[in-house]
Amino acid sequence: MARADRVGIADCGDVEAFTQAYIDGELSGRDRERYERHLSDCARCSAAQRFASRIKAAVRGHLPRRPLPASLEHRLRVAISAQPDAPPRWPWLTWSRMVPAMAAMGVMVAIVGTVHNRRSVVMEQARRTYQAEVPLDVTGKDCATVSSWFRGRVDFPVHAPHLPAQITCKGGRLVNVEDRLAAYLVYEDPRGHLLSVLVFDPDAAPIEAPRHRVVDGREVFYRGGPGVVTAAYRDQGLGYVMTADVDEDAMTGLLQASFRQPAALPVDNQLH
Amino acid sequence: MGLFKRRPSRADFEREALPHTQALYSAAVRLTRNERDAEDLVQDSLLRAYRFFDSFEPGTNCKAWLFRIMTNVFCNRYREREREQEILTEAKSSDANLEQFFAGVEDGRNVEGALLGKLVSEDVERALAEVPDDFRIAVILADLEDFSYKEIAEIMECPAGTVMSRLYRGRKILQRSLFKYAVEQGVISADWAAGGEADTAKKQAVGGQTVDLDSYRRKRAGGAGTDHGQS
Repeated sequence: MARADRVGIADCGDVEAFTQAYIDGELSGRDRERYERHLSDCARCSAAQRFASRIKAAVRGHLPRRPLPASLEHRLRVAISAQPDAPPRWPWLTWSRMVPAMAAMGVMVAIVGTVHNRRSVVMEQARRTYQAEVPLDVTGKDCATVSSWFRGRVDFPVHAPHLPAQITCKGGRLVNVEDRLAAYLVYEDPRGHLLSVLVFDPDAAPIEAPRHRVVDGREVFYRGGPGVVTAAYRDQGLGYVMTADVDEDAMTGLLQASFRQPAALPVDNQLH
Repeated sequence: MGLFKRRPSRADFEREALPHTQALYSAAVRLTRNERDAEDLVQDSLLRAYRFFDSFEPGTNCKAWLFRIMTNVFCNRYREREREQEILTEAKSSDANLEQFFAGVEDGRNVEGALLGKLVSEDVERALAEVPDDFRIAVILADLEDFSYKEIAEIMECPAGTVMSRLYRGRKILQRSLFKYAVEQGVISADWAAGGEADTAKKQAVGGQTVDLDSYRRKRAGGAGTDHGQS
């Protein structure tokens, strides 16, 4: 058996991938045994392994932790103490308020399923655009006016989703989703937290995400990141991706609110 | 859904997160390649972490959670996409040569000792700074911060296999720079680096006095080509 193993790993090319895992302490069990046995037989691989681990140690030794500048410590102390003690994010969206409200509305939220390893290009794009805090092409507090700015610029009428009154429109920007133009709307809450809505042609980019739920009879896909949640859904033939620095349940609450109210129509589109 | 029994307070944050500030700052200097941007990056990341602290699950790895936030902020704000593209193209084209170069070194000549014994920290910092963003992040997380492949995969939001290949390439690029400096500074001579004491024909092909790594590689590649032709 030992002989067979030795034959299996005789090609030094196969060992290359093991060397790195080995020096990083990530090789275990049978792989580790086989690798070590090969090393004892092969001077070349043994030298390669020794070189790799010595250079790793040398790099580490030459790059110690940097001392923290006093100026940064001071800045951090000031910045954090300027924040509220228990960091309330979207304060009007806290559970104490949302749960009874949702219960009263008879909200139907069902977790439908989990599919791993799916990535939606458009959701990823919405999240990056949100985090990059891109400049806006048009600004204004009236969502209908901002929506109407996109008329003639994108191939579909942009209906800004209706959000709770505390969230006001900030502006919009023309973006590309794959090869089509799309509308990117930015909202703001009274504390300056941003929420964005990307309105796009769902034929340009499919909506997919690891998790989806049914919210008020509509299928919504979620994607979480550090501090940011992205939710995507379809409505009247258009795709929507909503992004905000809230958690998934608070996002569901926002969607809930918007699904229950008619979207703000572009001003010159009101009679359609 | 609050994961803390109560809403986390500033004291919780100070206790759990702030002890990692120095690690964050060290990594930030090497990510942004300058101290001013590093301070901004750390501040932005920690404030973001503070705002979302109730999404941190107590008892899990806070350092990894903070690094994930910082990596994200860095990738969105500071990374130089265009520059990276250039380096990537360059790195790909010279990878085969690099393999040959190390194959020579790994023959076990004293080059290793000469190189490692005379490395100066400044050169190592400079070599790391030359590694493109995605690879550099992997090297910093693995070699300087001791994160496991699994943790790095979560921090960089990529599969573990991708972590391994980024780390591999990052390390090779870093090593190549170190060799380049060593040859430039005369710490190791190019023909010595070729490691072919017995192979005088190859030594002559290399040309003995080459100090520029690229011309060295070209010469050596030419020599290797002849070898292949014969076998």
